[in-house]
Amino acid sequence: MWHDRNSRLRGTAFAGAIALILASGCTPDGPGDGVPTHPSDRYSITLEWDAPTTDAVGRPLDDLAGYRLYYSEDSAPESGSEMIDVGDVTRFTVEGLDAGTYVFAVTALDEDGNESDFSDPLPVEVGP
Amino acid sequence: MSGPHDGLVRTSRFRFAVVLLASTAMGLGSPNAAHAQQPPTNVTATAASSSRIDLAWTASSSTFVSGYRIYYTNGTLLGEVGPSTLSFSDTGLTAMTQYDYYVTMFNFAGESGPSNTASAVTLDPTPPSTPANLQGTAVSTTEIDLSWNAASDPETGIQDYVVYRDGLEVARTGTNLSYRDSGLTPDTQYQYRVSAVNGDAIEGATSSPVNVRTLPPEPPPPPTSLTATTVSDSEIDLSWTAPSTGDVIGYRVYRNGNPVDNTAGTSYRDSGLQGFTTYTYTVTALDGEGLESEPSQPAQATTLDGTPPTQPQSLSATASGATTIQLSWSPSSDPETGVAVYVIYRGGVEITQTTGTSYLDTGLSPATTYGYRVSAVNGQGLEGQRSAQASATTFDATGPTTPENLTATAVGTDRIDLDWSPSSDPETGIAGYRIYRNGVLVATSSQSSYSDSGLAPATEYVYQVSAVNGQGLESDRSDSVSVTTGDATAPTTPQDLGAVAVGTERIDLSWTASQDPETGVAVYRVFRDGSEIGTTTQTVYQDDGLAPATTYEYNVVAVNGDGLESEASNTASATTLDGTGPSTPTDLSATAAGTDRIDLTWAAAEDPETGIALYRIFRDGALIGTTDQTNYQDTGLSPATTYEYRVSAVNGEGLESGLSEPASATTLDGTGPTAPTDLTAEPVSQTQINLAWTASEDPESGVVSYNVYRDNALVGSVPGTSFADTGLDVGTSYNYSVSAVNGEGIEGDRSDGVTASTFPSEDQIPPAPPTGLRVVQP
Repeated sequence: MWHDRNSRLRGTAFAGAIALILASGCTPDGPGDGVPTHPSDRYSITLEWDAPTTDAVGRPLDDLAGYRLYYSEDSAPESGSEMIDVGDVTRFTVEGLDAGTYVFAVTALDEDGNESDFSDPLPVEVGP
Repeated sequence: MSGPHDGLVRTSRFRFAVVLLASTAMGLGSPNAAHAQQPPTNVTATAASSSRIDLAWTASSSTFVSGYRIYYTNGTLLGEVGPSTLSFSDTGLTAMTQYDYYVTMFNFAGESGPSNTASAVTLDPTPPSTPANLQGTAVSTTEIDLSWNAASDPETGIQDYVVYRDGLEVARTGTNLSYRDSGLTPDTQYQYRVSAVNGDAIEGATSSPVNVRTLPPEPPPPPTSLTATTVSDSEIDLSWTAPSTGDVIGYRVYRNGNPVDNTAGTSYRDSGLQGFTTYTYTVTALDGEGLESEPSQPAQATTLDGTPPTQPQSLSATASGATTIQLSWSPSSDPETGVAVYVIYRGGVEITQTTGTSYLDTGLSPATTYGYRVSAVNGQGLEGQRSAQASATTFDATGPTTPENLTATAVGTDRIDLDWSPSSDPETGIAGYRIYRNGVLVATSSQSSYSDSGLAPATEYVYQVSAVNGQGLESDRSDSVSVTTGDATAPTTPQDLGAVAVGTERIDLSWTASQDPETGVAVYRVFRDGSEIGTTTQTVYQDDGLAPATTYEYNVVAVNGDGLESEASNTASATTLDGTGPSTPTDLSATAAGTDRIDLTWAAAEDPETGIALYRIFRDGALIGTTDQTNYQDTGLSPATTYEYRVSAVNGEGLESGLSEPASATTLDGTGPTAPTDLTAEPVSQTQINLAWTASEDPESGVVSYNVYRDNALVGSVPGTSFADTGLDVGTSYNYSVSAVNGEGIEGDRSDGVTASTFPSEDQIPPAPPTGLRVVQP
């Protein structure tokens, strides 16, 4: 292949300092009364991002195809992290998470399969 | 039916006292001996008929048996039998009477006591039944055969049958059921009865009568094979064959149905008949009883004609020459069988027979008198009385001399004039001449010449002439002279005259022969341009010494044997040959049209006089063909071979021009180039792939171009060993191959295929990363 996305991801350092953020937006999975139904509770979190308008070299972007959402616990996500192809949306809810601290990042994809660098990571603490 | 014991038997039973004779015997021996004299046992008596009783017994148990004695119980000895006989029949008894018996045994020692007593009563005497179905048949005039069914008598059986004729016994047949009564009177009726007699000689009732008549007396069969044979004019002989059977003592002859005589033999001559009359005969046979047979098959015969023809009358004899006398007479008649022939006598000797009433007697001596008589013979050879004699004397004159120097001259078509030297006759002079045409007397002439007219034209006639003297004697005929009358018709016109030039100074003529049935065609006259140039008896003519390339016209006329000419034939013309050959063909070109064919073309040659008939084509100096066109296809050649051609022209007279300038061509080789090798395909952009390969080889015609195939579709043809394939799809894989094409347009095998892909899309720049990642508050 002429295009090796993974090698590019590997080459991108997670340079930003990790700021642990208590995710006030996380909610426990389960009945609507909020009472946990299992000893080990699961949680979901809804994320949102802004679409890019240019390609990496600043030309107008006209072939945006979608996004990938990466996350990992306690560290910034990288190419081997958990990944979800979320499609061409800018809001997505991640479900079934255990309580803990996760770092999320998003990439954009064009119609030629080119994937952008990770967005700035977003640490979120998930729990009751 | 009455027996000797009648009156005693019917109701009586005789009882015979049993007399014991044992006292004597028993006194002779001891108890042991007495024990040895044992009588037979189980004596039985059975009535077999009214006169017979049968006895039977069981043998004595004594050791020695000499025989047995049979007694009535009154002691009367009936008989004695041997030791092995154990039965006895008592016969001649009285009917319906009881008889009592005993039996003793005797041997050397004496006689036994009596056996048990056995009794039987003779049967009631009954007559036998009556024979039934008596049949009688006459088998001859004196014999009658009788037959009947058997009668029966259960007691004593049938001993005899008695035959009665007209109430009197004529025979006893024993047990035969048939009888032939003979010695009877013919055609007489007899009445027969039959009765049966049984073993007791008792006769039963007679049968119903049967009446039979003996056959009537029969005449003998008729004689056979009767034949009637004519003997004379008043007698006919008969003969026949006696019949094979019958008591024949004689025959009776019938003529035309009426009896004429009796005779004992088998032949008879009937006489006193009328001449030339047909009689029909039959014969019957007579037997000793005076009976006459039916008549035989008839036979016919006709008596001879006893009446000869009448005497010929009015016989005349007239000399007609020195050696001939002519006879004639009035015909005779014969009403019965007609006149068959006349017999001619000369000097009392028969000289000939003739059926006519005239005769020319020839071969006589001159000046001699002959006497003649004639008689008639009828159909049965009976000759009548000869006629009165007639006499004549042959001439003594000699004939005239024979005419000589006869000449015949045809005058015109229908007349011939004859002329000859006069004859002479010293005695009576020449009275005239006789003219014979073709052997037939056609005229007489008092002169020694004659003009024969009214003849057919063109016909041959043969003439002779004789002279006649004053006594009518004719000389010998002259020598023959032949002459043919003139021919009045001309020959037919010669047909189909043809003229053919056969050189620069000769024309040959031919035509269909003319016909002239009378005198034939004598000669043909040949005319050229209106002037006679010669004659011939053939139907061809060769005109020589003419000018070259000149046209002449001809006619022919036929002349017959009389010089008459036909109409002129059709006009035929011909032109003598020019003698110069055609011009030489030019501009010959040769072009290979395949591996085995070269096409030739050239410019037409010229010949003003006779034109171009054909061209001759030479390949490498050898003639290979001709054509009347200005082109030629030479086929069947070898591939990749060079040939040299020349062409000549031939004119209408067969004269040939010189050979053209040569032209050469090389046939095609027919094999394609080798396949290109080392094909490479290098993409140079998103839409272009560059190809390159190693050149192919073709020794014969060289490589002219290469065909480039993309995915097996031809996409280009280039003279070099590289190709830039443009306008391709981005990032797409293609397969390429290449072939070479030689100078003859033959394409070689394709190279191995190679695959290459165009470069992919230009967009390798990813988008900028998304921004503003954030948690959304629920």
